[in-house]
Amino acid sequence: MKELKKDRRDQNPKIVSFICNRSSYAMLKRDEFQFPEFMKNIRLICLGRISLSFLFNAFENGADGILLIGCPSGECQYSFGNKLAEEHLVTARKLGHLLGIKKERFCQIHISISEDLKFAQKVDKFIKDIGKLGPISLHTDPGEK
Amino acid sequence: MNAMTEAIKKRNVYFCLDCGKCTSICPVALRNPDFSPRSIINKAVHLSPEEFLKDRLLWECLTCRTCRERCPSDVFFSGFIRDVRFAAAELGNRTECSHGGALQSLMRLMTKPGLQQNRLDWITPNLQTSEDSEYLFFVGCSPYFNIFFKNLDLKTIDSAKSTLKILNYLGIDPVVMDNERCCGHDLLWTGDLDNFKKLAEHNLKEIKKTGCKKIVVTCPECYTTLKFDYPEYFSDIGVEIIHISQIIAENLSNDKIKFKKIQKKTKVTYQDPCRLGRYSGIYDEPRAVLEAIEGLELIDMPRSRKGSVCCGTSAWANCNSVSKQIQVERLKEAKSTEADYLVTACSKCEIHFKCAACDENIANDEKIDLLDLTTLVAERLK
Repeated sequence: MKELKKDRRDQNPKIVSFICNRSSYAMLKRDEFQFPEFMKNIRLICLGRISLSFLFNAFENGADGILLIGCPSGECQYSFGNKLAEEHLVTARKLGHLLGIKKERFCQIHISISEDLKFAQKVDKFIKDIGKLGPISLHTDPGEK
Repeated sequence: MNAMTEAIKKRNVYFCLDCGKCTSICPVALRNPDFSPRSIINKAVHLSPEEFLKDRLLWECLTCRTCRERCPSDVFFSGFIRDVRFAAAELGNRTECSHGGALQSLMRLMTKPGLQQNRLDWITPNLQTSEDSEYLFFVGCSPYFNIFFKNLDLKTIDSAKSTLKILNYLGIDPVVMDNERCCGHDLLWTGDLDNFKKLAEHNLKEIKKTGCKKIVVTCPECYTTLKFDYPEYFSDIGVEIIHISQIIAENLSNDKIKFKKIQKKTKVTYQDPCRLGRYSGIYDEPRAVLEAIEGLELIDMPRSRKGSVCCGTSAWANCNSVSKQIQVERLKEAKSTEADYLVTACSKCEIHFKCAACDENIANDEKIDLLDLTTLVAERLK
């Protein structure tokens, strides 16, 4: 995640995605998906593994948006993983609100292994949304403008 | 290494008589035989700084200051630990923070220059604040804890609301800063001096802007940090720091505060937070406040005041089996006084005890309900 800091001047949004190993990570490796290099993909054993520290550590190190990619409801290998991730997301959005981080900067995608087209569309949409929101203003001193 | 030499000198380490009173009273040493303040002090003098700073045991200390109360030579062990942790962290010997370091991440996010918080949503229309007042209410991190620890069924924000309610009752409409940041206590005690300084500089600048003369705090950690640590690292800003229990106790004596009687006689016991008690010497005020409420009987635990036991974890670090043992034992001690409630004056004590009480190994009849001091007082205002 420290790599995020290096290219702050770059215009591309800095996106960190946490991806469930069971469903979506395999899709990322396919040739037809060319995800931009500025997206840092972190593979997890299950999306339920995320914790608030992962999410805020990413923002601390310069992320503009965070994408959680996991299985649809009822399809989690561990049965509770995606629900747990959702709970973390709700808490993270509330804490983010206190810190002035917009809730749109946190996103969770539920995707099944067969829905590859939908997957690509959803990721694209998130990248575009973050692009519209612009870089996060945390790291720039308002006095410097 | 200069930092070590300076810490040894500043904290009177050479005065150690090797008597071992510190280790005999240390709540961690009682449960973890590897840890001993006396041997750490010994090693500090005898080992090379590089070797000493690699020691993982530096992170086991709760910094509760119980040892200093016993030390006949006035060695300030907790202070020494704080100083050497800066040097240890620089060498890569860092602590594992609890909750995966999420709370430390939030604190470090608060050092960012472009941060624009929405931290005043908790102020309901019935609570009055003002833009220009002699008093400033330094809220602390309770809005964050309120969300972070919602699974413990705790509302730490209530202590902030109650403080404001009590101040309003006394005719004080304080300034509340929308860009206040964490006081930096936890970063200071976990070896992150740079980020502590960033937070302190920001807060001092903002406090100066408000032009206040007095700062009211509810959190004991904010109290010691603003009162003792900011002046230690920066110049004194000449503002008086007051804990809410001091304001209430002061107004009790001139009859400005009156409480509703509690119909059913209730017994309570009180947990002295380390930062409020041993660090700041505020033992009597919270007790005076509790005793002033008619129908409430205060029974002190066998180990109270200077001998009070820490809640087992400090600065969101070193939460381990030792912490749990300390917490469970303390809860049982509170219950043994036959009190109905354990009153705390610190959100963190409340969080830690509540977390320990979730332990399934504690029988239900050994559990005790927790109450926050300011919330209790605000509910009883006439």
